[in-house]
Amino acid sequence: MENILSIRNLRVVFEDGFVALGGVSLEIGRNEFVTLLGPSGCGKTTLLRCIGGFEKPGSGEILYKGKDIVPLPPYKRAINTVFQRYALFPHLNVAQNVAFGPDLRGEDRKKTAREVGRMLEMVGLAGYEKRRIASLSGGQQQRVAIARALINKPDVLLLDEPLAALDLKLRREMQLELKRIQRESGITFVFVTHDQEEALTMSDRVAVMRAGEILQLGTPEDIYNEPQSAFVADFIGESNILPGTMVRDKLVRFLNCEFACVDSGFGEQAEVDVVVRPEDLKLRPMDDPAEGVPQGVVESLLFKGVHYEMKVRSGESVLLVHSTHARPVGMRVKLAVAPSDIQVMRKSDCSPDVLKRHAERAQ
Amino acid sequence: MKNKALTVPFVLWAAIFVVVPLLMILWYGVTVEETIPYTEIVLDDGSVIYELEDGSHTSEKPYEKRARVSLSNFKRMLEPTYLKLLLRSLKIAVITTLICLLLGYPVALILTGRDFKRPALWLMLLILPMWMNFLLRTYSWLSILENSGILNGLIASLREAIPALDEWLLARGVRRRIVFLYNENAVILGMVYNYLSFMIMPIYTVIEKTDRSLLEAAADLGANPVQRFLRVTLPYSLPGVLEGVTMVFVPAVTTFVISQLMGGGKVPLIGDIIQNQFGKSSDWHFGSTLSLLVMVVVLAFMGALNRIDKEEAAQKEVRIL
Repeated sequence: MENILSIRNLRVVFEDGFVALGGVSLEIGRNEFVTLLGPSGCGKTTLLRCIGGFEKPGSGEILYKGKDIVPLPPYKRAINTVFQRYALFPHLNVAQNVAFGPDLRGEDRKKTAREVGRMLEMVGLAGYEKRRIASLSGGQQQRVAIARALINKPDVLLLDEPLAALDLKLRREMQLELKRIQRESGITFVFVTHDQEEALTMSDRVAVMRAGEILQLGTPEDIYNEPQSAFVADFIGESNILPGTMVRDKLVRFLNCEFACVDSGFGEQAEVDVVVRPEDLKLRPMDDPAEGVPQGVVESLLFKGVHYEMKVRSGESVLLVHSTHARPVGMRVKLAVAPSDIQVMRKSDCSPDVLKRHAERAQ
Repeated sequence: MKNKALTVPFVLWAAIFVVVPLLMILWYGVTVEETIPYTEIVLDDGSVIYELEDGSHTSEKPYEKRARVSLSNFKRMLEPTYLKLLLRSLKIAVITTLICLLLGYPVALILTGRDFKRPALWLMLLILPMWMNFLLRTYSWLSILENSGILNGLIASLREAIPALDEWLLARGVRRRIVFLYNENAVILGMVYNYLSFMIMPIYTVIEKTDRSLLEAAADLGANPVQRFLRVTLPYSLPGVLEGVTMVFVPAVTTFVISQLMGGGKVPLIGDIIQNQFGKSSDWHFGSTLSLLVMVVVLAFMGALNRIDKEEAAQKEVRIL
């Protein structure tokens, strides 16, 4: 199937020479829910603004149904946006805000009024037509912003951190709501967030961005289970990233022990980063028969509700462990990891300097 | 409660410098001055005494004047002479305000444009002349526009250089020396020049403050630049426009210096007459009555403006549904 959006080699350099996007390419299919995920200043909002037409890329193209839309101003693009702070018109009431698009196109008012009613019903605000924007809560305003965009029946809806201003409970509700709306309307969603949990919950595919580049693109499961760089592993969920050496294919050495793993193709004695998720580290008693596994001492214990979070020191490293069984502080333990839970990556090229600069920039 | 003490200086200030003068003008406005009436009585010994209204007698001729409550000044105020002056003042003020709006709004809009570099510098350049003395600024227009002024000099040398132009102009009855000054247009020019920045500033401030994301949202929903202006920028800048209109209109109705300099006394406005009453004619009572009239007109105007604003808001409400 033809992709609805093809972003090719998009480059944005700001006036002061800051490279906001350094040649980004991304294919987005019909009815897909794609999330651009990354820390502040990674270029995700810039990419979204390029698609919406609010930012002019220096080079590269954005193909919409096969046609380059870069030269088109925003009002000529069949793409709508839900802005981060909603940007609702405070001098208009709810119905007038939602009717803004159809009204501009000079559509029949009775038909528009019916459509507005239908849209408000879909976002759970039936009967709110006459309300003033200022009288709405954050979540309600957010729903109005979605209705205002969707009434134009766009093929692509861009959402710029639309849930960032909501409290946790409301955010969870709206995540499900958005996912439902996306499924029901069949519209392609391009969603920007810095909240990895949000990205994993809602998306069909996630593009993890850093310093103006897409580091990894894949399904939430791929991104979580097989991060291709230390940055992705670190950004998506909690993880232990350890320096290691690939002894040979399917055998990796870290924490001064050798582990069987499923990765290969790195070459012998290659320097690598090893990622182990906290929940994949198993703590065994010292009398466990396992041989040749690292040992450690429990340094701290925290109850987190669903699980206990422990820090275990093993040699130079401190490892994060999630487990439903608590181990007392000071206890000596053996550490075990299943081969499939070891994720081996090439040494990361993400210099801390670049990351810091981008993060500062975003503030 | 404890903060009440902090308002005392303000209340005092307002009482002394606002309420008291207003009451005085009101008092002067509703009174006339007259000498105390008396009857002269010649006594048998040939000396003269004076009998006052209350029947008391005095040997000295009463010369004191006293104020008497009377609405006669209001009657005088309604004479056609003064009403015509008021109408002319209003007409010139309205024209001045409209020109300021037509010139000022686009300037404010351009200055707030995203592509416009260094708007602060340009605003500064607009305001800088206003720091110079008001009279000096107006006098400089005189030296440009007077019969032997800079502009006429330029035109004269142009006509000398191009005889064909001279003939063409003569054929159309344009004299060698064009009279620019001493008419309504000159007064309007003087007012527009002096008050334009009062129109630009409030409009600029309001447009500058307007959330740019609203413009982006409008564009996103399909509004072209003209629609964006009409549906977002314009409604949001209305408070600024109303403020600018007030700040230009009120001084324009009451000014007298500009009309005296640019109009050369040939275009008297209501302000000139009021000034006259406190100066040459020395009739503070009638001057106060006229001041009250102007005050009522200005208040009525501002009330109407407020109403327009509210009605517009109400109309917007029903525009779509």
